[in-house]
Amino acid sequence: MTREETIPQLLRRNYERWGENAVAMRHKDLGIWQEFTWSQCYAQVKRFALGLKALGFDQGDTVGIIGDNEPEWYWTELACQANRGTSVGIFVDSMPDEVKYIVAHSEARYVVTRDQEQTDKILAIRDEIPNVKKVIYWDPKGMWSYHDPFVMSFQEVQALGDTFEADHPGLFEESIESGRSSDLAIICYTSGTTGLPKGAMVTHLNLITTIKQWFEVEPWEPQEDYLSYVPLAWIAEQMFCVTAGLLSGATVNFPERPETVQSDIREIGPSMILYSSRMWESLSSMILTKIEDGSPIKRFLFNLFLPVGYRVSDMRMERKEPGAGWRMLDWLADLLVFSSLRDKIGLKRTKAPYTGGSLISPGTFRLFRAVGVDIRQIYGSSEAGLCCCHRVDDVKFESIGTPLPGMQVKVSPEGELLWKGDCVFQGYLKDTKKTAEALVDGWYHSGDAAHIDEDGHVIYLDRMADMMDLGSGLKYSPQHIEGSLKFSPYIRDTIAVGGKRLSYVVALVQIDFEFVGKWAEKRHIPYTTFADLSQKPQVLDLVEEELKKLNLTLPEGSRVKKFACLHKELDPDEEELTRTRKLRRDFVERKYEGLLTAIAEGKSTFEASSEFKYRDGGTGVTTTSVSIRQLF
Amino acid sequence: MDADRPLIEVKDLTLRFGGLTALTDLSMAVGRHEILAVIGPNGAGKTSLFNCMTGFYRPQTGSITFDGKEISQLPSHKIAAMGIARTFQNIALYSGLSTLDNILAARNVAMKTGVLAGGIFFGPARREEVEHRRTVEEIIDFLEIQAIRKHVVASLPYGMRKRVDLARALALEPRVLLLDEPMAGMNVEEKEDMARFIFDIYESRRIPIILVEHDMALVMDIADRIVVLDFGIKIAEGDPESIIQNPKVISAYLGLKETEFATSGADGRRESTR
Repeated sequence: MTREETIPQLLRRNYERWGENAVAMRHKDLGIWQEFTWSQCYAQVKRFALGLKALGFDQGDTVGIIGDNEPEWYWTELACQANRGTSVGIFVDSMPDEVKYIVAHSEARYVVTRDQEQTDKILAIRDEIPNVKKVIYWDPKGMWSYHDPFVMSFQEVQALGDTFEADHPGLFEESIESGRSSDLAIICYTSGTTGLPKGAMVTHLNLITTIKQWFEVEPWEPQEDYLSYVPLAWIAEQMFCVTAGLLSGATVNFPERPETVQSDIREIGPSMILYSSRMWESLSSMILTKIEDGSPIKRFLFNLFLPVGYRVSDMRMERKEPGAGWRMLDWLADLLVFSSLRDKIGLKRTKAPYTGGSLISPGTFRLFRAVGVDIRQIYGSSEAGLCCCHRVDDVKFESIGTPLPGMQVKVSPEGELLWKGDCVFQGYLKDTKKTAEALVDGWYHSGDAAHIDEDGHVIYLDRMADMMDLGSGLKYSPQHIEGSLKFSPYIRDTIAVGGKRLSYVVALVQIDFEFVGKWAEKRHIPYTTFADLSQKPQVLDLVEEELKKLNLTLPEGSRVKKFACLHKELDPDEEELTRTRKLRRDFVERKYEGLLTAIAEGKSTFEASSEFKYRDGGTGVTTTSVSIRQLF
Repeated sequence: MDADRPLIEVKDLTLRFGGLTALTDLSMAVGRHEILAVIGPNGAGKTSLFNCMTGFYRPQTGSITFDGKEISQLPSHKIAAMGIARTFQNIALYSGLSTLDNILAARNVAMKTGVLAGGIFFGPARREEVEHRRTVEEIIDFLEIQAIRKHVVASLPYGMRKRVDLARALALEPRVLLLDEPMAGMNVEEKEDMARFIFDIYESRRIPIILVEHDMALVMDIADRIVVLDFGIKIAEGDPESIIQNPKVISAYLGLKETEFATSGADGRRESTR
């Protein structure tokens, strides 16, 4: 039995298993979906691999790849790995400095580009990357006038491969067979928010392990379609398009151009799709804009049925079976509105829509789930593969899912999310210091603060670096608390205060005057001003409920213990907010010093006097008795 | 084919509309491998010249020969079939049809099967249709308009319609391309894109391109040679360097001071765009 432990070995397995009988990939070219069977793919990879060999490619060499997702990208990577080399994906929109750094740092000997634009980028820096021997492009457009021996076309390299094959028969097959799971498959550069990008060294074993674990949750079938849209330079696409595609034998589809993806996706109707959260968000705003521009009937139906969708999807998320009436309404909503909406955005057949990258906003998440696109969060890293994901029947929008099977996941005493397994990388290229920080006894230190709730869901709080101290020695995430509370309709803004003198978190809440005002009117609760409304016991009860819900998602030591409702609104005119409504934390903490002291001293009310400016420049003072409540 | 002879020769061309003389005794030649710009103030006769070359206007006297054949009195569809394609200043497309259909429509010049065979759509007609579609798709790919393939032309932004117009002209598989203000009304980015496409066409198809354009900096950048018209008379001809120094040209461009004119074109020639 031949081995199937590297990515090229998986390609060989699929070639032997399906050959001409199954489509490995499709690429829309000249308006037609061009299909490549496993045999054709294998031949493309073989010819290019041997071409590289003819150019002098040695085991362990590195190839940089820069271009949009197209079959040649994939073949280049596989060819390089078949020669027991490593590929490095570079983002298409990288600036020349970044490209230079990555190409030089990874010591790439060849750079493969899609087109003239990317080739020019490399040519502009050629003097600074002496390690590069050749630039190879695959789209000849605009390259007619380049007569430079440094530059070659993909097809020319493949032709070299054909000649090389004649002299060295069987070399390619031997090279694939000799591959080891511990070989480096890719180096994945992560753009740190600070400092230079770090090159995560990822082996075949890492990639294959993470996808095997993933398939236990979400298996792909050979007859299914995946749409490759997020950049191949990103680890997620390496896992899905390359590894999962090969491991399952599913068909990978490459859109014609990045800008045609909306129509291409409708033609394919993929079963699996991965968008970054930003893409989901722009898709959601596109839907809402189109509905606004749509005919009055469509708008009316959408607005009529959307609440039904919200209601039913919320019930399902809370794992309550909706009653017959709701099911009936949901069926009608789907028939009249949602199914054609899903068709329009090309997700009608999609059983597994994933979101990755940064966290998706709950609003977008709920909208898609309401219209029947059951988005699921996946969470992982370039360094250590997939860590956790939502299960079909177990989704909480505040969580990033539950750990994948076979994975050891824990939260360190400092609150950092750690995991361990064969999916964890080998370290950063040429950076032992950063490697030692990220890998301790095989545990990958994600740098993300997280909390695991009683259902086993992992809740992402913040980057570790952004966590703030508490007097108890624990840390808390003000952004997580403030951000989560924004999604309550009753709460406009919150400041989560901790610091050295408090051993717990205090929330200063600004209610949403309009919404809470309407709520109070409906319940016949009389009020006069904002200050008055904010201190009504019923309103405090309301806010208390919201905070209790939030506390369930927080680690015990960093829950909100006490809160008060602010008696006035935060105002950019008073410098409490920036003009873009960002909280000026230090300023607000200083301003409410008195209130915070009263809270620290355990008082239950505080007489707040606030100065206000009249339009004519004069000032006045009002006094309000602010209640302080304790949650536990 | 005589490679040294110009592809198009215009001799003593005069065009009158009643008492108004649009072109007076105009003579010029277009080589087999050059980008030639025709410039001049408004009303100088640039578009009239194009219209004569493509059979839209009949000049009263003079001749236009294309590859040695007289064309000045031929109807425009015959000229198009000979290989002179043009784009229009104010875009001439079927606004209700899609991008794809507009470009395909231009291929009818090259269609051989008749109405009957086409109606049955079987055998040769079908094969021919497939071939044409392929040619059109290659142009779509070339001009990077895949994303608007199925969009109705009327719904497209102006810059895109210009590009579709160019695609339509290319679908005629021209031996010479006439571009009437290809960059008018475009923003800087669109202009740069268009300039790149003009070069790409020039390099990949190896056909001469004649363009009328007002953006001086761009003309200086991309043209090999410039012909300057004023009130229907050719006042200058030559390479961009000599044109910007020509006093006749400078005085023809009223409102454009000598220094302004010189600096607008002084930032280098084509090499600088590479």
